[in-house]
Amino acid sequence: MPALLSLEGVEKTYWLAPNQTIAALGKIDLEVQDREFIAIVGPSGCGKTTMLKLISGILKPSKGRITIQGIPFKNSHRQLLGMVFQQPALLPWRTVLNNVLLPCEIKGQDLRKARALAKELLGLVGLKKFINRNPRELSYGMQQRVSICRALISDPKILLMDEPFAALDAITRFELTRLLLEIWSMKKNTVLFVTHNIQEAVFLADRVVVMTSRPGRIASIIDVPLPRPRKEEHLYEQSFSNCAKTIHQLLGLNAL
Amino acid sequence: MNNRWKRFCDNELAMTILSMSVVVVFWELLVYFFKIPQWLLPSPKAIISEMYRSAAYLWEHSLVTLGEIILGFALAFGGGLLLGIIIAFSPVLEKTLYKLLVATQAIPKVAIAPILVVWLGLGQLSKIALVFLLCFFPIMVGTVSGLQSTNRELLELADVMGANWFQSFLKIRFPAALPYLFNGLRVSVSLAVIGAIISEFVNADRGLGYSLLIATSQLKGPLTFSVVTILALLGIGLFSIVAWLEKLVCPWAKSTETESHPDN
Repeated sequence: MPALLSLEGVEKTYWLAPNQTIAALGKIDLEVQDREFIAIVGPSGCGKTTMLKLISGILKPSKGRITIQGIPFKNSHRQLLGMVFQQPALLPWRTVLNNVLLPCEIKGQDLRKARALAKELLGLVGLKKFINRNPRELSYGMQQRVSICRALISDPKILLMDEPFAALDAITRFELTRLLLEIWSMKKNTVLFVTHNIQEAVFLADRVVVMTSRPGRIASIIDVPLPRPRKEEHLYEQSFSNCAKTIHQLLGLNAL
Repeated sequence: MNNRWKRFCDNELAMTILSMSVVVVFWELLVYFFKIPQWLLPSPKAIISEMYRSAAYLWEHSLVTLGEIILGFALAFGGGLLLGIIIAFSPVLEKTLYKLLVATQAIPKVAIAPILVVWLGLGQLSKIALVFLLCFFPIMVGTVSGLQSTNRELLELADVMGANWFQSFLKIRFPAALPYLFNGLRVSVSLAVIGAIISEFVNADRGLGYSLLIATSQLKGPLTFSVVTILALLGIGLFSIVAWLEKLVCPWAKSTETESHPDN
């Protein structure tokens, strides 16, 4: 049985000028199993976002190959993917509910059924009362919840999250982290979660992929020894801080 | 009492009516006390009674001018929108045709009005053509810049969702461009009135521009000012319609500054 998602020798080079290239991502090998929660940490410019964009098919790899369930990337793979960006990226001309329904409209799914699911998801993230509101009437954290619902509506096998909580304040951030874990424990999607926050990565993930920059490479993949479900107490345990410390050192932050 | 006064001051419509009434009363008194002759500056009362007396005449010419404005504007809207969409998605046309069209904007289009009469004759066609020329450019530019400034994340999102070109245009790009398009429409609709009048000045046998010329040449003060009043009302009316449509079609556009959530 092949891994759900696998990256084999994936590289990405950008062309700056006809004779000038920049290696954003150099030779990435990664295997992700079904229902795994993977966090990807690294300094800015290490190609974390590039990696997600390659997996989602927004970008094409310069070398190597990406397979999902053993099959190289093709358009139908998009059915299996959901994406959450750092910005909520909601459409201001649509209500909260219709924003969540957008992927279903595009995929031509049965909207009646989808609407019920959308309402359920929005209820799950505590936005039941806001389904007919305009996104602009919502706070930033609430908007991000909507965009998570939008990613989950098509029940994606793989959920790609690109620093989704980076622009939130610490309290809202923790609330959403907990909410994400709660949803994940129900839906059991595979999650790839890009962040530059070590604590967040350790708290969320089964495995943490630590990356270094220029060109982006995987320095190491760390198994998080904490049990599920994750609770706040885990934040203060020795194994948590040991794990965070290892990642810290791998990132070379102690050398300063 | 104080509170009520404040609420009155906050009422935009009330304040507009109040300030306009002050101007009208001041004008009336000015004409009365300084005994200004009618051919120089008629009083508001004289203008209103002239409008009443010549209602049929004014109505007839207003319809002519309004027709030119609406036809020219409608053609510019259709053409500008269509060409804008084509240019926005064609890098080749953007580098060639678009640059060329921008360059033609250096020509004062009012100067073309006499040429249009030579080309298209004395009838309404030359008037519609000038209105079209004036309105076309802002609409096209609005469309192009609107379609080209879609948020990159929204486009990537459409990509991840597997949207085809048509879907991402219809569901994301075009709605996102609407506020830009309406910017163009608001500029155009003001220019449309100017275009119609100018080309009627050049050569016409009907329309408000024509009747304005005749009235001034015969020193008919009240009639002249009646026409000017109608033109002003026409301009305000058309602009209001566009503004109203904008509120109806893209209510989110303006609310960015005024109604955003306090947390943002």
